[in-house]
Amino acid sequence: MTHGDAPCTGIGGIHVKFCSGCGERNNDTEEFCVSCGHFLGWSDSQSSPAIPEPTDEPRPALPSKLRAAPPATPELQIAATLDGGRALAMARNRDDIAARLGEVGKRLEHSDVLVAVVGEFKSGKSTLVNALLQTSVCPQDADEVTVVPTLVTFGDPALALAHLQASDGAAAIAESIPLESIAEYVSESGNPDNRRRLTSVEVRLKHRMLQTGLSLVDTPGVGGLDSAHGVVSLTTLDAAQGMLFVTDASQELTAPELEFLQQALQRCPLAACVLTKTDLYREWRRIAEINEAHLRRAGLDLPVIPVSSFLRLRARTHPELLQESGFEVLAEFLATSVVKSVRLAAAKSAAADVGFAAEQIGREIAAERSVLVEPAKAGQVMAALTAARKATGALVAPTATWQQSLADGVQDLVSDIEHDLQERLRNVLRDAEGIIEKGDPKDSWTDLEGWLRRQVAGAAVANYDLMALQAQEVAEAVAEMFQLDLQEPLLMTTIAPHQSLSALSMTSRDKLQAPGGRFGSMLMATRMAMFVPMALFGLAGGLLGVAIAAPVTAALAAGIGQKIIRDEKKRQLAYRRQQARLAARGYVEEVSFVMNKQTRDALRRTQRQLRDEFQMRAALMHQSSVRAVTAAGRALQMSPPDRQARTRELGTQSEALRRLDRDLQAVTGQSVAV
Amino acid sequence: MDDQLTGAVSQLLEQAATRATSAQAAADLQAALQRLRGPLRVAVAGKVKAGKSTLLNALLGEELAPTDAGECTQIVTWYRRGTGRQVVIVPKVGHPMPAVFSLAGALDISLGAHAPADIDRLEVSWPTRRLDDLTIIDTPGIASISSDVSDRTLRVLTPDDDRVPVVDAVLYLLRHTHASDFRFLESFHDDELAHGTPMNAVGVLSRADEIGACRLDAMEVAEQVGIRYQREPRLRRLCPVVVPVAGLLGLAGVTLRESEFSALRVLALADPAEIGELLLTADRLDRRATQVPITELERQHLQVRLGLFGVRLSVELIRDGYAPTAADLSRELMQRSGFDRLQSVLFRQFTQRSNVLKARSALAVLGSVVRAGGCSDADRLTALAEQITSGAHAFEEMRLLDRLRTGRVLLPEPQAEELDRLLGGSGHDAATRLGLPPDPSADQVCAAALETLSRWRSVAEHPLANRGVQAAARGVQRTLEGIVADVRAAAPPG
Repeated sequence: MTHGDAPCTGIGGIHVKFCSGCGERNNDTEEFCVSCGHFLGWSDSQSSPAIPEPTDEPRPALPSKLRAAPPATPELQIAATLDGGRALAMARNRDDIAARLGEVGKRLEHSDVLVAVVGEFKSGKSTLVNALLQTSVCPQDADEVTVVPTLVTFGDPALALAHLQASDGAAAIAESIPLESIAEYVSESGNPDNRRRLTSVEVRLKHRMLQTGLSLVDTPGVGGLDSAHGVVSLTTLDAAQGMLFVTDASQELTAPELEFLQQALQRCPLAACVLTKTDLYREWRRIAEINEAHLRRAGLDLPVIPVSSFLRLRARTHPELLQESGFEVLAEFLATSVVKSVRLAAAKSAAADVGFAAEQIGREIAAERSVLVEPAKAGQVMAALTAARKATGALVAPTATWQQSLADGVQDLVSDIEHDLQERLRNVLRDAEGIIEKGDPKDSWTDLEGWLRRQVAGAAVANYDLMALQAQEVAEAVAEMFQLDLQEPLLMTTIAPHQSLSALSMTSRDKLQAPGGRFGSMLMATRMAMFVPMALFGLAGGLLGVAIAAPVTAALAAGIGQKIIRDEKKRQLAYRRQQARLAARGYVEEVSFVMNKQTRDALRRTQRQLRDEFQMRAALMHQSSVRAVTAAGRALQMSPPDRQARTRELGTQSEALRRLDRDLQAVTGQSVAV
Repeated sequence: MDDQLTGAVSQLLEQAATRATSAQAAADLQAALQRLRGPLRVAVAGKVKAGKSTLLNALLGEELAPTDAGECTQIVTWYRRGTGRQVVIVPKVGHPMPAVFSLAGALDISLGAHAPADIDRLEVSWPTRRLDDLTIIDTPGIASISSDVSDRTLRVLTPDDDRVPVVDAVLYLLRHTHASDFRFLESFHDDELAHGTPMNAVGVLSRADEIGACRLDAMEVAEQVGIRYQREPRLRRLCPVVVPVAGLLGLAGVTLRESEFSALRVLALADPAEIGELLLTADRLDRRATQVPITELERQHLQVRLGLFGVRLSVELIRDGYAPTAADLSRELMQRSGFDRLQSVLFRQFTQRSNVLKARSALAVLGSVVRAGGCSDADRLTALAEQITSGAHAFEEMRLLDRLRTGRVLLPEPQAEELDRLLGGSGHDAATRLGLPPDPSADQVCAAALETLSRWRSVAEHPLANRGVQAAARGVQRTLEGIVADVRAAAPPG
């Protein structure tokens, strides 16, 4: 074996390359050292700098669940109801509803599953991401540390983008970067203290596992879980559907780790604790047991999955190692627990939209039918329908109460949130100044800086949480207004009595779609539109650049008295404190500036989204009530044979509607199996 | 000169003892006197699971300290030279009493009726030469504390110097963390016992083999981390030297048995491909079915003793002919684990200047006794103590080093480094101070010293140099003059 040999440079470097990790000689086509799994560099064939198409690989396939959904999944079921709904809408000439359902279908197909990888410094997060994908996109090193979150997602061709935090708080800029120099952007030596002010790096890879819509975020390990980065990493979990908490087998879970997990699970309950480096520690089974006990005692319900990233990477060339690496269990977890339940949630959300569409169509059918079946009551029905038309007409108008309520709500929210942030930051600053006064910044600055960053990040995150919560409340209030404006109860009681429609339990479906009732999908979208704090990554690092180092000392000529020296020292200390205060204040101001801008943008985005969504619904509803009046009027004029034919036609349609309803119940009735 | 120092200090302590006004004061002074004449006390401090006990065992050359997280590491334990094997429980209240113990691998001490919280310390006396010059104190691991940072860190960085140190020197065990982590300095948790200053602290980057994932180059990777640590200004002020050590490997090196060597040899001589498979993971080494004629039990024993990295490295060393015998392997392991380097650093940093460190501790005791009014004629005693501290150049050197390392003497980097070296920061012998190769001739030393002397003389006399620099330069001049005088006295010219 050539393990200990010095790399022999005499051999032509064209067909052979040496592993910088262990010195092993490798074929040029290898990307990983066949001996130690160390990354050797992208394959030299210029045509494909990215990962070779994984399907060509002879290695064992991943669990099939990741690839194609087997039949009878909620997605397929919901796809069927979508088709049914579209057909029904077309039959009734409701192109607007059909188009709407088409959008829902598209959204369902593209629903992504984001899994965040979090954990302590040097616990092997980047290596885990690499091992999972059997690539080397995330730079991994024994001492280097990731400073910028890296999003790995599907894309063809493979490329990498750096998202920059613009200095004036304007929208972030995306810059294309070469795949092989990602390390210069995300690891510490290339980007110390995140001087480049990146909020994230996005890597798009053509990989089978990612093709299913799975994306992975490798969070920075710098500073550990308790640092500013750790705090900000918590918020990435808000946008993530799944979490992998990484801890290594060298020791059991520590108190800070458990504390972090507890908070993290509140944001992202779909999680697993991944125990890495099992190849290095013979006691890993015992550590896994201890960790399980720790988790149980803390009341945390998540599986412990021991893995060896080293073996998994090596499995590229030695497929028999795959089983030993433990990654099958992890892939299984991702495929079933995460991807599947996220898909189910998406299906349920789509079901709510189909339900809304069905309700619109149902209303039209009901109106027409009640006139046809009970002509005696026609006058009453027409009056109710006209009233409904007026109500929906008001809903569409820009003066609608819900519009006012939305505009006012967001306006108030902006000022509330800004005020909240100011107050939090002012408290942090006051504490910081207290600490500066107590000591000499020359000694304490480094620690103070870390402390300040963490406090500021904590304040920003708390502020963000408040915003998310309150925005949700605004959305709910608007939804309520919307209902009130609609005077729906009146409408329903007028039309519903007819027994042929009583089976269409429109109202009961609402209850199934909690939380958020019929607006569930909308409110979910609100939450996603708010994902702000990525910007904090750009700010969490490299804040001041001001070194409160020893100041320039005045050259003191010999013979100057002790008192002057003492005074000079005092003066210098005061100067250093002043500098530190200014730096702290500057940082806090900048964070506040950026955060305010981000908050405003996010809220405006939310406002626009909610407005569009409600407006679209209002338009659909108005269209329905207009058409209901017309259809009912037309039915009144019909000749008896026409009436009979129309009644039969309507019977078929409401039968289709009932089937649709049953299918929807089947989807929404399913519970998420975790 | 150092012996003079010890003499002067012990004389002063004796004088003070005769003037003691209370029994307590007399006892304190007597204890200080004994301590001055006894071995240097070194504490091993660090976080939980940092590998303290393993390193301690390596230093003791015996597996005494239990390496699993048991009750005993919760209690401060002193290991000192004794004529027989004895363990004494020193309770917080009451008289010390001997404890029952057994040696099942590690020392298993029965605490009897004592609750751990009531025990001040355990004193283990052991007949081993390795404790001749050092008394080693094992401290309980510092648990991870949550994030209240500012005050504590500040306290560590600016220790008040009035306290009487219990130990003369501290060995801090650091684990691999990031500098921006507030837990970076957590290992320096300051308590009454382990109270380090830049003068008497050495950092050990422990479990070094794990940083580089137990690959064969793991120690080089750890070396890089160590260098990064030394560049970290805050850390440099706490302990200027950081040595990466793979404790388990060092211990194995110190205590390697012939049977273990032959088992390793079996592995080294077997088919390399098969051994590559066997050593791929810790699990495989423990229980993979293999043709290699070595039992699972033997393999597991090897892994417990040497760790995965140790076994990998030993096999490689034997295979490549570096270690034909057990003694060679033992030597190689001690060298490659960083343990040799740690020992030489300990020798330079602690043993060589143990007299100064001990004298300093003794004077600190005297100072606190006098301040508390434990002696009559306090003013005269204080004056005498002052005379010793200001008169002994060794003290002056330490003071200057301390000032230099805490950033109070402002000099450009190369000059500061030279000053540190000249003041004995890396070792006390003339060659080390002057940066000469080992064992230089008298002429070489003389020439180098004179050349350096003239350079620093001009620094001291530079009109624009500030007072701190001038004082430091004058101190160095005196050091250099001393070196020249010593050389001339030893080998008169001609």
